Amino acid sequence: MIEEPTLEQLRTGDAAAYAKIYEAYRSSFIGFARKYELSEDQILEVYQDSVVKLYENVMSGKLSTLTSTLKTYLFSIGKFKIYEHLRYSQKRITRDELDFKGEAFEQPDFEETPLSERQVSLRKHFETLGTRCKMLLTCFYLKGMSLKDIQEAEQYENINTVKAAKSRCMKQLKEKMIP
Amino acid sequence: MNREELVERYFTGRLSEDEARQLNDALQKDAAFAEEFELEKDLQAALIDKGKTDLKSKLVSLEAEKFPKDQKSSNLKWWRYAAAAILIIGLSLFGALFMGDQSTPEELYAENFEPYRNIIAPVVRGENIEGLLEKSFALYERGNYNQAEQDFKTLYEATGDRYLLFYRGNALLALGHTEEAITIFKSHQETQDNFYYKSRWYLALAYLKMDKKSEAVSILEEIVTNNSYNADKAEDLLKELE
Repeated sequence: MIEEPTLEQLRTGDAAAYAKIYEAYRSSFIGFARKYELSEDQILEVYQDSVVKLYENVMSGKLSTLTSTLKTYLFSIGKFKIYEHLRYSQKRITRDELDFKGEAFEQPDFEETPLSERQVSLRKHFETLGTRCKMLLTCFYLKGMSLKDIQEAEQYENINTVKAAKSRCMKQLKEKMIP
Repeated sequence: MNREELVERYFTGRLSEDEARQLNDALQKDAAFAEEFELEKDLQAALIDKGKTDLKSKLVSLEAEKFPKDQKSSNLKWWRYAAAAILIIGLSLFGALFMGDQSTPEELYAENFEPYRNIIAPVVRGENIEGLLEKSFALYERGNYNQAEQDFKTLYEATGDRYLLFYRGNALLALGHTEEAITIFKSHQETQDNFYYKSRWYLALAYLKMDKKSEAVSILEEIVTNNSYNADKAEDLLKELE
C-alpha cells in the first residue's frame, strides 16, 4: 500500500498523481483480473480506463468524499468495467460472481457517457482560443481554482481583472460556437 | 451570497447544502442565468473529456516505457493469435459450407438483442422492495417485462423522468411489441439524455426486427460515425446487412 494522494491533490488534475496510483496498483489489479477470461492486453486496457474514470469522477465532483481507500474505489470501477466487457463479449457472468454485493458506490457513476453535440463543439472550439484564455478557463472550470487562486497563480492585477478576462474568454468561445 | 459567488463555489466544489439550495432557486427563477450555467457545465464536461484523452495516452506510454513485454510472452502470444486465426478460418469455412447464405435482419436482431441492464435502481435481493420504481426494475431484471412495462408507463406519467421511456422501449422489444417500442424510442430521443445513444442502438434493432433494413442501416451508420454505444457491434451488423 502506498501513501495515497488526497482527493484535494487529485482534484488539481495532476497527471503525475494518477500515474503514481496506476503504477502502485497495477500488479495487484492484473492479479485480480486474471480470474476472468481476459487477455493481458484487455486487462491493461480495462485498468487504464479505470484510472481515467477515477480522474473523471474526481474532476467532475462525483467523487467528493472517500468512504474507502482510493484503491478500493479504483477496483470497484475496474470490476464494473470487467463486468461490462464480459457482458458485451457475451460471456455469461452475473454481478454476484463479480462480488458487487455490499458495495456502496453508485454504479451509474462508472458508466461511460458520450459527450453531447454541444460539448463536442465546445471541446473543439476551446482549442482555437488563445493560450491565456485556455489557461484561465482550465484553471476555473477544470481544476476548480477560485478566482483568487487564479489571480495569484497567473499574476493578474486583481480579482476584477480575472473576472473581466474570464467573461471576455467566454464571450469569444460563445462567438466561435455560432455556426 | 450573490450568484457569481455561488457559481464560483460550485466549480471549486465548495458549495454547502444551503448554498446549493440558493443556487437552485436562482436557476429556477432566471432562465437566462440557467442557460449560461448549463453552458459552463458543458464546458467543464468538455474539458474533463479532453483531460481523459490526455491521461489515457499518458498511461499507455507509461505502460510501454516501464513495463515492456518480454520476448517470451510475446512469442507465446503470437502462437495464441495464430491458433485463434486458424480456428476462426476453420469456423467460417464450416459456416460458409453448412449454414447457407446471409442471416435475415430478423435473425440478426435475435442474435443482438438483449434488454439493456438495470442501472437505475439496484435490486437488493432478500430485502424488502419498496416503492414502485424499485419494484418495476426488480420485475424488469427478473424478466417480467409485461408488468414492468406497465409500471414504467405509470411512473413516467407521474414523474416525467425520460430514462423510463428508454427502459419501457426495452421491455416492449423484449415482449415483441416492436412497433410500439419504436414509437417509445422515438419519443425518448426527442431530447438527448444519458441514454440517447443507447436508445439509438435499440431503435436500430427494432427496425431490423420489422425488416426495415434501410432505416436500421442509416442509424447503424450514424452509430459507427459517432463511435457511440455499441459502435463495434453496429459495424459488424452493417457488414452482414450489405
